[in-house]
Amino acid sequence: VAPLEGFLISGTPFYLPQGDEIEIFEAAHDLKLPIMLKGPTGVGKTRFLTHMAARLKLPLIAIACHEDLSATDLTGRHLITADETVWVDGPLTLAVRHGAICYLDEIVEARKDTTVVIHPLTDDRRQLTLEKRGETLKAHPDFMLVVSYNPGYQSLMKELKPSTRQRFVGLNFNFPPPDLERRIIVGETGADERTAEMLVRLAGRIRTLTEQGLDEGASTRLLVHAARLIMAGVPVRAALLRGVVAPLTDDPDLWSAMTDIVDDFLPGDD
Amino acid sequence: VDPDQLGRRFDLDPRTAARLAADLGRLSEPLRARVLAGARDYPDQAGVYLRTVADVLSRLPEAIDPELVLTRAEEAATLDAEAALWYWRGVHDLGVDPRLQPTLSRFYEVGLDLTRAEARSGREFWQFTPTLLHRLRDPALPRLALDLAALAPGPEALDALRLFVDVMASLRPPRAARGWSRLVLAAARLDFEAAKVLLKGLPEMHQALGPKNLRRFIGAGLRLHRHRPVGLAAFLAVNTRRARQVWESLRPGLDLEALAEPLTAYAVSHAGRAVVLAGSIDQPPSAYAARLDWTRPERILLPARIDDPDLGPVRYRCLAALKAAQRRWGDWSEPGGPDPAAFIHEFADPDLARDLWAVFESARLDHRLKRLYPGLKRHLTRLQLIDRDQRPPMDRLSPERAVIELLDRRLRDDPWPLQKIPERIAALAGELADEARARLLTETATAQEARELTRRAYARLSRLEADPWILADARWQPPDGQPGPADAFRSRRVDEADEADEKFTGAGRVGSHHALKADVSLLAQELRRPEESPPAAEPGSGLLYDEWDFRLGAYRAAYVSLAERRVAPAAGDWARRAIDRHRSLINQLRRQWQHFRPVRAERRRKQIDGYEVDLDRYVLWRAESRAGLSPESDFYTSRHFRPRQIVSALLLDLSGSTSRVIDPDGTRVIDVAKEGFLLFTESISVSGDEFALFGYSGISRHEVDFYLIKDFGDDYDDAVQGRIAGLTPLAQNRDGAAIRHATARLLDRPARRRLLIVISDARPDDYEYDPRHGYEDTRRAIAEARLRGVYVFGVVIKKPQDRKKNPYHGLPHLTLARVSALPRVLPRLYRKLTT
Repeated sequence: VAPLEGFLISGTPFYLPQGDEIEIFEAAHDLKLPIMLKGPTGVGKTRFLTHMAARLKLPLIAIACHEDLSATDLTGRHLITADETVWVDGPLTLAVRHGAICYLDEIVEARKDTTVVIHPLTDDRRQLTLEKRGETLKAHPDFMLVVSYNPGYQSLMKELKPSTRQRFVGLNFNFPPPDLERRIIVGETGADERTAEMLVRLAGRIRTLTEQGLDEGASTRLLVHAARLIMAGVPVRAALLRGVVAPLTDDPDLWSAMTDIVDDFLPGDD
Repeated sequence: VDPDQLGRRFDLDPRTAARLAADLGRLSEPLRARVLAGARDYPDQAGVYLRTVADVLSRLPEAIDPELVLTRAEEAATLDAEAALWYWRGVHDLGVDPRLQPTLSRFYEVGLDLTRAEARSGREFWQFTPTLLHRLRDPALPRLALDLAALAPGPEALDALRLFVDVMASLRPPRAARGWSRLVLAAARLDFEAAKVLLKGLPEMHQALGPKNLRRFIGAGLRLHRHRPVGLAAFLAVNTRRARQVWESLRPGLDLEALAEPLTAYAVSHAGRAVVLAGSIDQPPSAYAARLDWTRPERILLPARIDDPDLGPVRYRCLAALKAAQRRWGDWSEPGGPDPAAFIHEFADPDLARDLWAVFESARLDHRLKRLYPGLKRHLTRLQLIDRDQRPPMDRLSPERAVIELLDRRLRDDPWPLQKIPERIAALAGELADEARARLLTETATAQEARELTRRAYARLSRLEADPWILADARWQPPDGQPGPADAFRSRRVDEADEADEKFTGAGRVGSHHALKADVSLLAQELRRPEESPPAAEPGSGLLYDEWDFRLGAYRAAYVSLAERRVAPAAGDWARRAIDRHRSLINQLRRQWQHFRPVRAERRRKQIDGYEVDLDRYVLWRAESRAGLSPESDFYTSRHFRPRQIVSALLLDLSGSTSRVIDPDGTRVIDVAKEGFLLFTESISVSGDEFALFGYSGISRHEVDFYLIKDFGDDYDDAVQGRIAGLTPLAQNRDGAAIRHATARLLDRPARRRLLIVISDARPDDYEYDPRHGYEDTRRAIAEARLRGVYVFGVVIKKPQDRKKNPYHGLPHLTLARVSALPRVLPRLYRKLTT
């Protein structure tokens, strides 16, 4: 386990379950089934996974996928040094070899060739072929593949193909119900109930704006940020505008609308 | 002068003859002779003539030369004797007022010209002008008034004068009138119609813009139309696009338009569902009714403008919040919830029910908003405090209205008026208010409760009206002595609406009211169509587009009303049979798309990983490594694909002319066009490009129909095929509006390139859209589209004998000699245009 020591989670991060996701995850881990976390950004997908990794005492190798991420980046590559070439395991290979949770965040962003290496790992073969080394790796019993996926983008380019999707156990994440979201904010930041309540109601108002050109509603993460700013003594209005509104939009009209929404909640001083 | 002789000669009674002789005796000899000679012109009325002239001349102020007057009267008499008599009287009437004496010459000239053209005009002018001129206070005005009359076409001179005097006499302060007169005159010199429009609109425009800005507005119109007077009337009626721009830039106030985007988002966030905002220029039926919406849950109606730039944003925000709350917590919180409009019609007097319900429901929603949102509460409270001053005066309300008013004040914590209120009314209002407070101003009160309260309160108010005790209450007699409360209520609705309007908009009236109510007949006249235009398009019923009027050299603002509609799909297997018939062509077209990869590949260099090694960079890397450096190993290249990002629309003219038969077997233009749409869709859907199929037709500018056959984002499926199959020839075609709308729809889509293919006979044809006008407007619409980045391509289906210049002349287009080629042309054309 030595090569993965740096990937172990210390402590158990705070997480309030929305439903049965913890039980399902544990069952999938026992059954060696890969998992797909679906949901908009900032609702706790990554936090949930970190929590589970700590709970199962497994190292967690997280990879943020991007449009230039190719299969080679996952499996490993030969590095040419001055006199020789050296093989270096990629993060996926590392997880397969030594047993870890490999987390491909926003899988749709990666290049399509990554599916080639993912597919054999997600069925009962559980193997990884390293073409360049002519090696086929059998996955370590503790290896687990988790991907995340945001269905909200609605872009033709960012659809996950059914042949890929149907290999995973799906866990849906969504904005938590108001009561739970309030407890999350309180638990995460130590904010008082009234502040948390206000943040949750503000988010409820803003989340209706996705039809108005807002890409995604205010995430729980943004609420937590705002609550932290408020706890740190930042004036409430500034905390809400900088912590919640500003990250959501550059559009002046939406900005103005959301400023009004924020102001609805603030008694003001004139 | 011998009275007896006079009496005999002109058949006068002795007393008249004596007085006449005395008056004539005061005249000089030559003058007297001329006066007597003039009697020849009045064979039947010589007595009247002599008495009038002698009377006027003998009392003529010294400043006026009697000989000159006589000379002029003689000349007038040669044209029309009766007119000359009125001239004499006019001279007297004007002469007695030293301020009016200087206008005598002009009075004569104008009258003479009119008499020359038509005797009746001259008579009436000389008869009525003196009285009119007496009403003008400013000594400079009579002269200007006469100048205006001189510019008028004969029969209109007196009317113009009357209008002028009415308007000028009403202006405050009186000294301001001189400036406005000069401007009216300047307009009249360009176009007399324009001066009339200006005069008629002056008081209202004055109220809307204030003197300084109104002067600027008129000045702008005069400058703009210096060399093109024909558009001036439309400009001064605030009826052209340019006029409206100038007007809006000068008018204080806030347009809904300016806030629409953020306010919509704000309202949506309150409503918790999709809503759109619509501006209304209609006056709400009452101040209470204006707080809520009555129909159409998806549309929040707000005043199109609030004439108070400072409070405008807050007023809009509060009103939007209240109306959105109606969607969240009111009858409309459930889809398909009942319309309040339907509810109030359960009652015998819906207006009464309307106001009651509005008071209750708005109080409930207001309470809830205030409790949840401290920030909003501050604004709501502030506005309610400001609006206290604009409450209707109690003594002008009928008993039922008085109860409602008192009830509303209590629910809003507004104090009751100081004046004495009949006890029964106060008691009833108090009771209703207490009940409402207890039941509605809670956290959990529902819309259902507001309805119940309305029913109960309505029942009690109906009893109130019949209560003789109230009628007997002397203090409650209407001030102007109208018989009973019920009548009083009816006759006062107008006042109430006025007050409500003022309250609604803050300070003044909704300004563009004037602009939109502009003289329809005037427009018709200008278009040389004496037909009766239907009323202006109802706001909110369609999308309004400007139209270019080459005669004015200006856009007519918000002139065409266009509505999107769905084509009813046709049943049957027309589409399948057509596809079978063209199977090989479709396959061929599809293959072309498959060969052509409609994505763009980009090669990226300096990658640390990739498909290929970039040899140049590899050699460099080796060399540098050998040299003992540690260069970056970025010698790969990679390929990247980008989608084409082309969005296109086909716009098909569905006018009646598409029923033209082009083939002996009875095939019509529309049949070929349908096949064209089908083949296009069949083959282009392979490319993955986004496209839409639209059609258009309509009747008049009030009704342009824009048909969605396949909208952007619609899947190509049976429904689309059915809609293509269902296309039929319809009515007229107003190409400009359709192109403008298609352009707007294309601009809504995210893309790098936008293409609009218009398939038409290139003969715009609609009411008030004659060939030249249609041609110019269509060209303009195409130019607008191109300016905004939409490439417009015309596919022109024209009759072989048609030699008319078409709007696509000189622009990218294709004329189809053989219409039957359309199906195969369309997909190829698209490919050619986009690759």
